[in-house]
Amino acid sequence: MDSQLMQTLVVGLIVLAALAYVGRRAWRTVAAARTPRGGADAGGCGSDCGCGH
Amino acid sequence: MLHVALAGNPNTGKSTLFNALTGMRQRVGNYSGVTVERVEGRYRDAEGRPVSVLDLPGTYSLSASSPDEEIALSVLVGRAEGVDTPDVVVIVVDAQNLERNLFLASQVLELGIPAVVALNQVDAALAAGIRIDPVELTLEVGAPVVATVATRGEGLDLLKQAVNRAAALPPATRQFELPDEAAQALAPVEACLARGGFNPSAAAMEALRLLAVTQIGPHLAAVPGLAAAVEKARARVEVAGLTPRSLEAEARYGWIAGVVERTTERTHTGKKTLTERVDAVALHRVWGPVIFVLLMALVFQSIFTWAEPLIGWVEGLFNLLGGSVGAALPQGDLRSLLVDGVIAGVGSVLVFLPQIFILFLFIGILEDSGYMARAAFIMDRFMRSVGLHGRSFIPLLSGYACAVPGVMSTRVIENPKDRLATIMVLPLMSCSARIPVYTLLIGAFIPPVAVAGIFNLQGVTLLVMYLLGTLTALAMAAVFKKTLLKGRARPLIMELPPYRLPSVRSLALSVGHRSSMFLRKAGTVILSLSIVLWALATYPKTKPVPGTPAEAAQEQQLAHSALGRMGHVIEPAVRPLGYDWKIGVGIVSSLAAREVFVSTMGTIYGVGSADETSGALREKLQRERDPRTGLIAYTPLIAVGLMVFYVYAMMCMSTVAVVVRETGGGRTGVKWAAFQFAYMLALAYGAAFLVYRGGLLLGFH
Repeated sequence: MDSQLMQTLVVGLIVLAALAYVGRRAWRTVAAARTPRGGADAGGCGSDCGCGH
Repeated sequence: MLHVALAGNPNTGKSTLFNALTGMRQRVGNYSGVTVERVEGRYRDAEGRPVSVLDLPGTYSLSASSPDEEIALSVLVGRAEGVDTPDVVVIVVDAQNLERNLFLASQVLELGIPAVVALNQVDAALAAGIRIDPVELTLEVGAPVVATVATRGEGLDLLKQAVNRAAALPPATRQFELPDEAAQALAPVEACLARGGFNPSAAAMEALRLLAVTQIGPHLAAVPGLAAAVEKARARVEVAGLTPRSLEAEARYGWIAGVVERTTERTHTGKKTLTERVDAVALHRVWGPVIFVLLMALVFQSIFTWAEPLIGWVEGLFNLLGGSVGAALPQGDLRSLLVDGVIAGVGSVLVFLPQIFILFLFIGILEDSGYMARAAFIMDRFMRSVGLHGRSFIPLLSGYACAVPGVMSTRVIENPKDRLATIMVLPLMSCSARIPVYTLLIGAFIPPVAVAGIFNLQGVTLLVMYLLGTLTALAMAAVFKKTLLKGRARPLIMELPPYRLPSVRSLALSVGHRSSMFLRKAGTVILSLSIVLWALATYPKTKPVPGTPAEAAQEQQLAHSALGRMGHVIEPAVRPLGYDWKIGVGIVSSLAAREVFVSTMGTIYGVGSADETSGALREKLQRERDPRTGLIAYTPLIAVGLMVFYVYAMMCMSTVAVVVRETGGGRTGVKWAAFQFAYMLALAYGAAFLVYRGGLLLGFH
């Protein structure tokens, strides 16, 4: 297998993993929003909003 | 392992004591089923045994009338899901406000849990002429009292020893007597609670508390026959000529008055305290707002002047990294992904970490010093003029850091219309996620010239963006309160804590925690989106016409890519604002989070550039030319218009999600969030259009 094809395969895997992560995050955000106030943990803020929560 | 819970009023130094005890060994989460923050940590005692510490929410009582009080009570009576029942409770009491603090302390002491009272801030109390005898207080409350100064770590060893010994001591009991009629009326309620598994002491405390509350609370829902027993007790208390609602307050404060008299010695020096002297100026009708604006100006000025050298270093680091990775890997897609996608995308956001760090540092200093409460007090006048409750300003202030906790903290606003109006305008407050966007554009297009001799134009521009967001939030609140959410404004009653020198350790913890969240976001969401955007900007590939210069070939490839095609579809919508397709793509991708605008531009210019180490993103933006006209593509006017767009646009999916939930969830929540998104987008587009077109008419470019 030549180096170019190898690079393309690795890139394909990385892009797929990134897409899966973005999709999962989007799904979790929607799911957290659908739960009414007081019925869920702080999913919207969750881990990554930079707010310290 | 010994489980310790920290309970206390707000502003007693409880969190400082928690930080001093546990250091960096902390974990932040949420209590099951609610969005009340749960902070846990650990320390090792003198014998090296681990001790777990839970920092309960700061509350004035255990009346369970708010989510915070309900959680504190549920944990202390061992009925909080997923939380270990504490073996020992440390009640943090502010020595300067003993009378008020002893109300909660007396409730906690009656729960039958081994307890230690941490008499905190004794130094400030002494300075104010208040001397409390800890030994005398120990005898009065029936639990060991340890004097502490958490900010300096004084008394911590004694406190740890007292905690270790407390488990072996008999628990404290009620130190005052109720009128006979009340005691007899409450006996059936206590029996009912005892059958529900409560110890006699906790049952007595709960029974007395229940006389004054309207709902018995979820942690008591499983106790059979309780509601009926409480109703009967209320009736009997009334027949006896007593008032059920005030019986507990009268009994406790009656006892507390005696305790304070016997344990406290006041020496009136006649001099005003430091807090009183500072407040005479800081809360002055005229000087107060002037000082507030000057402080804000200083903050934004510092963000630029202090961070500039650090930003240069971080930029240099990423350029070096890009160059090294580029040199180490053979030409190909993987090298392009790492250099143009990951390093250019994530790096373009990470270079703003110093500025975010400085912003969080200032927010921490203002919070810990006690000035933030004064800011809310100063702003109350403006809040009422727009029809909002003064309490709304605290959530709005937290919006400067992040809108998500700001929206959640609107729960302190009791009136539903005031709360909804606050939620609707809160994302207009410029959050830390906007800093990378503002800083990129200001750094690239606003010259660092002096203004009024002491300020520079870059810092002033940043201040203007923050003021624009704040003033528009107030104006929109006034519109909502006069139309959709009509209602009267009510006065603000809040506690102004004494001024304190912020503890370095506490500041380091809060700034470190908030900054690490920013880093985590860069390493997850922004990294993933940068990879996806790189793929969209790279494929499908086109073969350049032989002889085309490298830069032009890259530009052709970008225009041919999926991202380029999407950008050209978006372009007609953003052209009236002076933007090209690249900015259009940046705006659309930043719907996920505002910083993604910067990483998108980083990726586009990484892929579109023939030279991988051709300088920082802002230099690339300055050099960008319109391929159709050959003129400079981005001007200061376009940059200002774009910043105004970001002041107003609701580009944050986490905020949308939390607004849906906090406005009722389901269809109602979606309706309010959609309305908010639409009005903010319309405001953003309209304002950016006015700035750009108005600027052109006035001769700017």
